[in-house]
Amino acid sequence: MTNRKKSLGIYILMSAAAIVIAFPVLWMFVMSVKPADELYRFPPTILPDKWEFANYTKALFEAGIDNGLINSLILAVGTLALSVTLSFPAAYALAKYEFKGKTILLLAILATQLIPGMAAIVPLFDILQRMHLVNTYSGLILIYTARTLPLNIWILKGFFQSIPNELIESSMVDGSSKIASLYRVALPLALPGIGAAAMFTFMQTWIDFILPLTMLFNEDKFPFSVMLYKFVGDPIMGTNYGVLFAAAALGTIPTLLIFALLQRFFVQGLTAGGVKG
Amino acid sequence: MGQSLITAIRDNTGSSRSRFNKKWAKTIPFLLMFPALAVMGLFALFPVINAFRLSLFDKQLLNPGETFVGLDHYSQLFANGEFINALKVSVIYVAGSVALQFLVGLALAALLSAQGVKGKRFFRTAFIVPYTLSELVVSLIWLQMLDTEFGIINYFATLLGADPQNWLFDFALPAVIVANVWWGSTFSLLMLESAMQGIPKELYEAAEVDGCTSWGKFIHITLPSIRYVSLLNMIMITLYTINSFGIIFVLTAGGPLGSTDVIGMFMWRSAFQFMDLGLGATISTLIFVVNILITLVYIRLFGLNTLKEGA
Repeated sequence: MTNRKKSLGIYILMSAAAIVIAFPVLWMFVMSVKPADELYRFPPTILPDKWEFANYTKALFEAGIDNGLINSLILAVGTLALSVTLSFPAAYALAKYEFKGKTILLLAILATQLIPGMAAIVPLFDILQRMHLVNTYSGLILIYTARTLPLNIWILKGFFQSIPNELIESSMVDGSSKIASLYRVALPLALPGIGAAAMFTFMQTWIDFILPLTMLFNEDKFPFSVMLYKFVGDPIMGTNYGVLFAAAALGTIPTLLIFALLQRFFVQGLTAGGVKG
Repeated sequence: MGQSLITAIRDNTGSSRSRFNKKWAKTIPFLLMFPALAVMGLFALFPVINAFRLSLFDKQLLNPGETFVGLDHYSQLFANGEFINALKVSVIYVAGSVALQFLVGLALAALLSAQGVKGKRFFRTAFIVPYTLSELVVSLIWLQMLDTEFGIINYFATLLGADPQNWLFDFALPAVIVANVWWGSTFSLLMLESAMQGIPKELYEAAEVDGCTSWGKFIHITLPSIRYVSLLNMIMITLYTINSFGIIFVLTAGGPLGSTDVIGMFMWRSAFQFMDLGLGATISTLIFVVNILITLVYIRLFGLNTLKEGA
């Protein structure tokens, strides 16, 4: 009986927490379907009197957020491709070869995770400027790649370590080299790890805001986050919060979907690498 | 050369034919790691050095020229009242955010780890959702919710019998801390929950036999078992919070009257608004030093292995 009461208490607490935590996200979706005038009403309506789905088409085609979403996609997929391609051989080397200074190197890779990304924005601007990469996607992709490599190497190294050496060695009997077995044996087995790494890289790049705001100047290059930020102060767009939140929702749906479909990877990766932001 | 590399790779597995090839084989792991290490070196490690170098120069944002000024920027900073204010605001912002994020994360992790609770997956999903949002979207949502005239938070306040408030003016620092905690607690929740899952069930069963209450079990078993992960988590959120300013950037831009002007915000403004890249780099350098110090204190207290295991 007391146990029942106790778990009832836990359910009540958890439900209350879930409502408080999920509310702002749900509220964004509610605001995204409100007509402009209803957003300037007090007390606010909890559900819209009139559902204005046109906010979404306005955000996409009149406000030009479609362009921003495509730009975000280019940045995220570009980073994902480069980061996974580079981390794959590096993780394999760290998992399957012995060499001097390996522990130090592993710790150094881990330590780069602790180098704060935002504080580096000033020296990074200078580096990009010298390389003529300011206001280019290449510059941003290289920075994102550097930031996501440590976690990706860490995740993939774990997967390679779980592949028994005998499996790799047995594939080498017929004369193929260790490198060839990397692709024949290790690659297919590491696919879940690659999936987790890819998902993380995508999300981290997709949700970023200050870095592209600083490094990109041309409006037609802005990812959706920077575009939205510019809308806030815009005399036409900035006053129609319904369209603004429809745009915000459109930018959130991809990461929400990825998260919903791949939650297990998400939790694994986050706790494995202890990464944030 | 290229040919011998290929032979070396082919021979790597067993009996190498010559010493030359054996030497080549030793370089294979380094060749595999080189591209990744090069990118990390140039875009993650070198910025730290470059920040220090830049801090010694007078350099404007879009101007290629630079003049050596030695440590002038450093003395200039510590004589600047705005910088001192930013330091104070940062301490409150970081301490408040870290303490709350940790406690909220701990409470949620404890709830999710409670025995015999069903639907954990559902609740966990609800708790994690904020983390999938862009920093900018988070800021926009809170900007609207905190609005003085039309915001839903003032509506809830009036329902509870309180007067509507101008949150981002009169309570700017607490407001940005709340928004940040809402976004960031997920991280602590996930780290702490996975640590709690690793605690052997027998410990709890033994305590139950001894008539220990739930609270007693939490204090005497759960908390001591997760202390290393907890500390690692606190270090990580501390380092992150010191540097992050995206939410403040959108909600208050450091105002009103500098009351939310954290160090990162001050740095960004110096470098990219006032175009003083040298001064901005000086603040970067100081932030790096603080981060390194915090990390070293942690390693000194708990040893390198904790860092390895915790990660």
